[in-house]
Amino acid sequence: MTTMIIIYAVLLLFGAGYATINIFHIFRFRLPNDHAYVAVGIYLLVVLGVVIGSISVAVIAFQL
Amino acid sequence: MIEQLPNQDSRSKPPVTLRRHSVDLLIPLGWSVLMLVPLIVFLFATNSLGFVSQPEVEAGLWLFGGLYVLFVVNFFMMQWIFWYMDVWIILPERLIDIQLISLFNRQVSQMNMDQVQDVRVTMQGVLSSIFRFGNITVQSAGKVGFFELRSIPSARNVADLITSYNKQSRTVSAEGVTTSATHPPQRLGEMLVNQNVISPSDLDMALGEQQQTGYRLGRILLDKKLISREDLVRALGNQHHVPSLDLSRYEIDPAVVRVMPYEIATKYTAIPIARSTEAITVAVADPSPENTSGLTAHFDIPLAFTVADEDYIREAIIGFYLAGQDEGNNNDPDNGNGSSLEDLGIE
Repeated sequence: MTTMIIIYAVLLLFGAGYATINIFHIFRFRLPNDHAYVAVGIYLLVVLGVVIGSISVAVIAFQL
Repeated sequence: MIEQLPNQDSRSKPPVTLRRHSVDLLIPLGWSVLMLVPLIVFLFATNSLGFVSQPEVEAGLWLFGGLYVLFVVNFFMMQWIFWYMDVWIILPERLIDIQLISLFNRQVSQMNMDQVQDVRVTMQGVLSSIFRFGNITVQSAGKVGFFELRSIPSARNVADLITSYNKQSRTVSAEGVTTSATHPPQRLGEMLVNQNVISPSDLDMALGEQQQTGYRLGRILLDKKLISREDLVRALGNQHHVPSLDLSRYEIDPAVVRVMPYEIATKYTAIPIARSTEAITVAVADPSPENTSGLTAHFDIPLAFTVADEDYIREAIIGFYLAGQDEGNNNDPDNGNGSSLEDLGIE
């Protein structure tokens, strides 16, 4: 179980890095007064939803 | 919509920002959905076949399943960023092309509207016809070559807008030339010295050689490698207020070349390169008023001039007139007396 969590944490870091690169591009290269913040908001919501949701379900499944 | 761009004239019309049609996002969306299919099948299979008996295995499935979804979401977001960051901005005085080539690699190019030579619209494919989007190719007389605006919604309207801005810019440029015509043009050598392209001693040496040989100053400086072809073309354009053109990167319209007879092309070192509804654009090596007015006298229709490198013009003349003659005398240079204007639909 410990090994699995370590592998998971490493892969999660990769995923977070990937997301950071995406968000960096939006913030760095956005045009003045465009609506990129809305897209970033939705994107972060989905990413956090997926991560928190999957961890929550995994914890529940482990405890049952 | 953008409020104000850097160097934008505040009195000019608001910019038009264009992106590819959102239908272009369907392909990455399809790939993303397809990537989720194996995960769903795998989770369904493990559940229905009863492989998930231990809580550690079930928890692991949920954790790594979530990670997989995270990477799919990231992948789609990256594709969206590539779509979102490809932007074309149309201003009355210039066209801006912003492209995200790859991650951390962004390219921004600009084209002045008065340098636009040709605007083409192509609409290919079923989706393009249904959703009314297309590619617009904007050919420039400048060094930038051409811009390709891909999958643009209402492409024909956008092309019309670019054409109207181009017409406006050319009118303004022509007015500028008329105004400047009252002032004598600055000498070429002085211009190059003022721009720090050559030193005063280089100019003195070249002028001395000019007196001995009778060659043109630009040719002497070029032969001595004191200036580049681009320097000379740019300086000549500035001197006579004529746009400059990199002919080596320009695609000449073969149909329009026939408008000018071979003798005139060689006499004036000039070649027609494009046509519009108003005028035929002619690339000349010497854009001085004496040369251009002499050339204009041979034609009944208006000519617009652009200055290009002399050697490239000579190569183009050989390529279009003499090579065509070798192939079967269909493009006989002696036969090119301008009668083909009717073929081109020019009245």
